[in-house]
Amino acid sequence: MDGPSTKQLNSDGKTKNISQRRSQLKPGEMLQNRYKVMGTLGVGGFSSVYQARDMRFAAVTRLCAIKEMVTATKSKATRELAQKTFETEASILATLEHPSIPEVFDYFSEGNSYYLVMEFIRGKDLEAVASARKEPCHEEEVLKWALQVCDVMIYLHNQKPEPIVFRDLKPSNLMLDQHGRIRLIDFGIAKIFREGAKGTMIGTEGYSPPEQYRGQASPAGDVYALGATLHHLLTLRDPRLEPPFSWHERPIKESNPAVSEAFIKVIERCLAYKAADRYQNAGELKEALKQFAKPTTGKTDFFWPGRSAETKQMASAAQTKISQPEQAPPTRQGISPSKPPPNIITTDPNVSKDYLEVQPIWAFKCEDEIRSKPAISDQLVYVGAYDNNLYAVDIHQGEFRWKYPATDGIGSAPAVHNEDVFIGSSDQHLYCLNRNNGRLKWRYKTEGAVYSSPKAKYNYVFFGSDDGHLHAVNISTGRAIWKVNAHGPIRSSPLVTDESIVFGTEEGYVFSIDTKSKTKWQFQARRSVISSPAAAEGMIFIGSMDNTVYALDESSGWAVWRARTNRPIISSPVVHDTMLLIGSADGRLYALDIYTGRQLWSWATEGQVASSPAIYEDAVYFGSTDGYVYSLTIKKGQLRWKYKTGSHVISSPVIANRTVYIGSSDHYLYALPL
Amino acid sequence: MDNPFLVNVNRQEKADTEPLQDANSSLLGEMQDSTTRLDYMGGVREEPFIQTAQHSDIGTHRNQNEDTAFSLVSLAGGEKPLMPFAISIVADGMGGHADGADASKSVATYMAQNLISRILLPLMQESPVNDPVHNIMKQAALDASRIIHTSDASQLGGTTLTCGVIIKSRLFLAHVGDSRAYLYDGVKETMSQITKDHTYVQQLIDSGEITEEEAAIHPKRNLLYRAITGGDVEIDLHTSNLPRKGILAICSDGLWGSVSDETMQQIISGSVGTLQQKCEQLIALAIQGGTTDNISVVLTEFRF
Repeated sequence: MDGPSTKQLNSDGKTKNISQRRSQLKPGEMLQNRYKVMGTLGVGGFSSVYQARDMRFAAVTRLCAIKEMVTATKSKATRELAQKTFETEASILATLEHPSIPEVFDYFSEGNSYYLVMEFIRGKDLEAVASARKEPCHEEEVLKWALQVCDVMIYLHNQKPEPIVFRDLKPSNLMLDQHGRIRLIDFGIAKIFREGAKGTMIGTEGYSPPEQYRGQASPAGDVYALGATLHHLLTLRDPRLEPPFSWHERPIKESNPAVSEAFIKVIERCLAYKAADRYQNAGELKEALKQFAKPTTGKTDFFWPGRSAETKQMASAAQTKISQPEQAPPTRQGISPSKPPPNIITTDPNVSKDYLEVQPIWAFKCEDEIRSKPAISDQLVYVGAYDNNLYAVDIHQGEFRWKYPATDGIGSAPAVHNEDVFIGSSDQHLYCLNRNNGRLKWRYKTEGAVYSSPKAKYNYVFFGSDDGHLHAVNISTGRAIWKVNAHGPIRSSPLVTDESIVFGTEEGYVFSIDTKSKTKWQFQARRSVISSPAAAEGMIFIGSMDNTVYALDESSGWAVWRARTNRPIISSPVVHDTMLLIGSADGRLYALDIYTGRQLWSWATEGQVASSPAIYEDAVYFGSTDGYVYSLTIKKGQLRWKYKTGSHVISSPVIANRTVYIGSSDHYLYALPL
Repeated sequence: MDNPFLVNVNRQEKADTEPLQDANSSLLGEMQDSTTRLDYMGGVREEPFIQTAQHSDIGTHRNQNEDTAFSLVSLAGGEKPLMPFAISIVADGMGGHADGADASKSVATYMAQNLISRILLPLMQESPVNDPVHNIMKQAALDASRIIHTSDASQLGGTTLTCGVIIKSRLFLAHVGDSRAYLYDGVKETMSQITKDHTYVQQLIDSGEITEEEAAIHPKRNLLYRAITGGDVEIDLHTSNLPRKGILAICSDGLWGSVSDETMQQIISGSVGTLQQKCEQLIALAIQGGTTDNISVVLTEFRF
């Protein structure tokens, strides 16, 4: 055979050797043959920050922020200091894991420069927010930001063995991301605190505490800088333009009379000249803020079908933020519907709409939130609500048929099997009801709340409980077959096949047990697994509160791949052909390739996606805590329609009869057209 | 009875509060006997089976074999058997002289060492790691690439890498270059290519500029756009559930360039000869077919 005698390598295949780089990267330049520079985000003393695109994900636009430190200086000492500062930032960031701290993806050097590749945060920093304002910021929003900053500062100040002091807290280092959350950026001068240690003054004049000018850094210094930041936001008077430590000369009341005395007192204490007179750390400050903050603004929590005391509080308060129907929906509670509630889609006239607006076919009002997924039989839709009832509603008209009262809320989805409907409740019971009239056949008591949705197969019903056991109950008799100790609450719903039962636990395990209740394998995620598994191609797919989607081999439990989102996952995956769809608390619905975990597309909502998607024909349906029910095309993830309910949509859709049935925290069960 | 949850209800119902520890009280209690009987074929219980064979040949036109083939199988029988495990690797070195042979050998052995320590050893200790197999394979391939990195730009040594790992009934593949993996499905009796060549001509085929036939004689058919050459490289990762029985074949272009897929399937699926003899037969056919290249093949036969 003729032809080339030996293999050759295309010249593109070799990494180019970039030895002499100028300090400023231009758009289009490549780093590591991987990151394409898109533009400059900022230029600082030792470093520049660029927006770049990770070309390894060629099919999607994955953006990142790249911080560059150039060490072109001739002075060895300066170069070493700069490099050390940069490495401090890299190593601090790499060890931290907090929703308000950007994730670090990569760290490398090329030519004379060092690079840190981080999560790109869409949004605006608070300096930009403040300078765009004509009026000082409202107490309520500043307080909300302050509590979020406290949360991340508490995390830093509680690092072991030594607290981390951020040292450069100021509005321009606080990003307000697209979800309205505060993210801390620029760890360039953060420092591991050592009692009595002194260093050079680094920070920003105006925001830095007096002792930092003497080279001392401590958690109380961060408290001062946060106080200065809050003062700036509430007064719109930039402390960098004022004499240092002259706060008493510009009282907050003067610029912003609406601010409460209590808040002003807290800020004044933050700004005390002597460190000993301030709150000593972010924890103390947060306690003080909480004293007068409304109970609902502080805690960051995740929405899921179950509801703890905290989330209950938060949900009801957050509900008020979402525009409610202007007039009360004309549906009578729990009896029968007349007309659907008014549709309250608000649209920006400047944005051209290429999606449809839909109107509900009917809506049925319960007496409290609906967080669970409905179930369907041929004539009825069943849904559990936090008013303790399981409702059965006519599938076509949305008319009330019957309800069964449990003695506590229902966060579990019902299961319909033959002539029965099963439902779990926070009252620790699993109920078996006649699906036509709601008459109780039997109930089975566990030792904990039942959030896990029951799965019926053959003559058995399987479900998890907060008592830490997976229960198998005989459908005919309501008597226990067995229960397996999973050593932690089970809120995930079991996936039951002929060979195995797979479920996740609060302790972060995924178990596969055989039909004899013997463990086949177990897999450990890094945090709780509330999500329920799906199976395809011999793999089990499941999400975890560790932000990750895992693909596990069904027979061995070995992880095949994992894909990270930016926040915890409560949503349960569904598989369509070779595509996996799952929501994340980062607000997105993700479509991933089932064989590699590669992202095919994602869609951002303004809330958390705790809802589990449902698929019908070429579309996917799901809810978000931004109050919308969304329908996207499955191929490309383009918006088909969205419908705004009166509150968070944590419930998951079920599709039957060419209709999407989904609940909302506005108490309604909606029937929406496909 | 197709109910796998068949159970002696009277006996089970006493257990209202505690898990049943007694093995006899299993859900499958009544089914077990008949299932057990089915497991025996001619008096011998059928156990998972996996074996490999390989051959690497210099061919007739070269003065050095730049290919490296590696294979390893782990099987442990008994009452509590370990999961069947296999590694098969073909790396086809390039760059001429010693560089290519060095590159393929160091990449293949580095890869194998990594997979043994990060997958096989945890598997033998029955403590699966949290790290996905894909991540382990990708990292091992990238690290392997770094170890062949040389500061001397005139050294152009590089290699292809096609690496298969079987854990229980799942196949994992990491792939760069133009060596290939084929899977013969012994149940359906079909063979399919499961890797995609990272060659210039494959790109031309994909974009519709040339046909498969034209590609076979294209003057640039040996030009790779992706290979292990010392830097970061994109690794193709693949996974699939293996059929109940079949053969995984990994080979260098010395084989697939001169033996048709049909002939390859005929030899691999044939009932004549041992697995080793099949390897040798394939190599002989490649030489007969006029290949000017080195030829390597690793066959992994499995039955679960």
